[in-house]
Amino acid sequence: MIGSNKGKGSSSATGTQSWRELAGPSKRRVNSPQAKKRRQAKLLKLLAGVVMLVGLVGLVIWASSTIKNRAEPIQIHTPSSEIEQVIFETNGVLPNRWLSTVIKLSKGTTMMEVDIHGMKQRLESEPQVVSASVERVFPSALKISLEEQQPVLRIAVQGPAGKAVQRIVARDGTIYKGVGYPKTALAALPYLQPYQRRDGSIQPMRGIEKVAELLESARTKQPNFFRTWKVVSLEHYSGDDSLAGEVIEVRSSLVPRIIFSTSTDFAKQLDRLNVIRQHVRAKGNPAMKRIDLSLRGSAAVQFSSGRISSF
Amino acid sequence: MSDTRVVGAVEIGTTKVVVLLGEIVGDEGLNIIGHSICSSKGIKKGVINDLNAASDCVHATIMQAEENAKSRIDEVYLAQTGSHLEGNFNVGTTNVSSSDNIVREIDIEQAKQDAKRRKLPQKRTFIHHIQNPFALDGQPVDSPLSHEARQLQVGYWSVHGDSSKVSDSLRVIRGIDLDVSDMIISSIASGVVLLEDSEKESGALVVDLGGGTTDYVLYQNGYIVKTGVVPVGGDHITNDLSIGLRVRRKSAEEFKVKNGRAYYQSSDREEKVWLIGDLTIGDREYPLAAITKIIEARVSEIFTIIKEQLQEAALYVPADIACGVVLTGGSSQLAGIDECARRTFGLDARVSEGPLDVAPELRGPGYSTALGLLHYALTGQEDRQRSTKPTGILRRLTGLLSLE
Repeated sequence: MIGSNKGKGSSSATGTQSWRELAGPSKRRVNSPQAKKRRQAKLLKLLAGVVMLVGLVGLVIWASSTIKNRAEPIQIHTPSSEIEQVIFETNGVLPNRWLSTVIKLSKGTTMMEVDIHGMKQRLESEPQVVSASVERVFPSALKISLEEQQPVLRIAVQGPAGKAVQRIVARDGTIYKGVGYPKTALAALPYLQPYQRRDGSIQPMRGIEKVAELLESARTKQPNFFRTWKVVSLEHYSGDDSLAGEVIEVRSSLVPRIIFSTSTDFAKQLDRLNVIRQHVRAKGNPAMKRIDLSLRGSAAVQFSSGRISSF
Repeated sequence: MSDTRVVGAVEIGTTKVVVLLGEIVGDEGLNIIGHSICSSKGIKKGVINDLNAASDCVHATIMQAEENAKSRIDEVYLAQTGSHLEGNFNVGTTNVSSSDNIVREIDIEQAKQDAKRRKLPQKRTFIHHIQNPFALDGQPVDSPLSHEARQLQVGYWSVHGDSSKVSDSLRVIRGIDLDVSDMIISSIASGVVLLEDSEKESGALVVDLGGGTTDYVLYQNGYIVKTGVVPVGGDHITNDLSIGLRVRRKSAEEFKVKNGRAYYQSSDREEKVWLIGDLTIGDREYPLAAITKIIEARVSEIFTIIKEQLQEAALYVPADIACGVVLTGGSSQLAGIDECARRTFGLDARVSEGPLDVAPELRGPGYSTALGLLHYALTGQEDRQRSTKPTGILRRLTGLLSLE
């Protein structure tokens, strides 16, 4: 085996005027007897594959038609009693009262009259709902199960009257009103400063899944410190993990700027943050301006005095 | 289940075409599963001058290697040589963008882009942009990220070649329905397998003596600081012998291999050698001094050209080339060539023994470039944007239907 080490190597040219521009299929290829032989072998292989595929498809058609011919018609009797009960299940907080405003089920609707597909679509068009299932439970009940968005962050947006209103940001970046959440639960969510594209737009919001990972790790590992987190800024995080140098910035009431790298394990960065905080505490708790955990293999702390320490 | 791909390392040289097949399992390691070597046709001084003849021999070598490995190549890594290759050093500069003067990835990218911004004349094409150390406010650093500075600079050694000649090599490979995943110049490919990281740090000059060209790469502080191609190789030594001794080229080649030495000793004056050695008609005696003087003149000329090019670039500093000269390529097998290099360069010199982690038959200097290509197939080049290709069954299917 070779190639075990990777050093300061060379770098293949990409972009304009690179050899890769010449590698396109535009120029006529040069033929040789060997290449023709190789191409013929490939074509034969392809033909054999097609013949096998056609044979297989034919076999399946023959088998299914044989089974179909043997099948006998079944008489289905549809019961059509009135819906007496709606069984509502959700993994979230949406209340029954909200459900009744969305499904708008009138009295006397029978089991077979209800359009369960339309109802499912109406439920899933609500931003707080990820997925919905609607089932007829015979003889007289309708079962509705919902999977709801999990709130990750809060965001202040401009309401219809031009006034700032609070909205919730879900893991997949959906922004929704947030019905049924206790006020204390919402108050515990940090605010989001979103990534702004060149045209000023913030949607579709990407990378919230990553932020959720960070928040969950912080909530588990350092619950007390997490409570001081006020704002999560995605100013330098577009959500594209293939880009280098993407960082999530957290503004806490104790440290104005904590910078996390999106390409390094959050648990490791939080452990390093804990070590830094303990160390700073032991040194008399001088005020910090910035903790940068996004560096490779180290972290930098800038104190309010202007001094920078590395950990 | 881990993904397996078969890569072909193809070196189209003036005297021979070398193909090595490597099987890469995931990103863990590489096994060499087949190889083939054939005499070149249609190639002069490392450049294709008869596309059809060159395609015939390259395609035959590729198919022979595939037969040897009982496997099909998925992608090709191609070596590039020839006197059309040139290089220049460009420096990219940027002012650190953040108000706190902390260097971020975006500043690094900007400096890199600035260094690569230089436009080439028409009909020239870039092959490599080789990064050199960064400098923060003029002070060199390996990694500038999160350091505090006002100005960031980075140097790049950019290698470029004649578009039509590079395109010809690509067309030869495309002729057998294979795509070139990466192109690496011969000297860099050889250097990467022949030198340890510590040798690259201390500084070393790798000289790859081929049939029609001599390629070299100079490492200093772990970075490639210069590459070059001299359009003189082993074939020129054979030509010189053929003219000097008035014998056929074939006999001169045999003579060079059997009796040749790259430096002249006074004791050579008394010694005589036979042209064929079996006393048949046409066999005759020659003074060894005549042979060694001819060879030494040509070999030291090659080394002198390289030395002058390094001096011109202000890179010939013996203290920065502490590990000396490492010789490779088919013509490095010439007896006494290390002594000749030592005398000309004034540096320590050795003939490479090849990497120890490959089969003994592949350790010869003729395989070092192809082995280097396989090394890059496994590790990739820095900064390279990997193309995303389908894997597993999908890859096999698209390969079968020629969709890739």
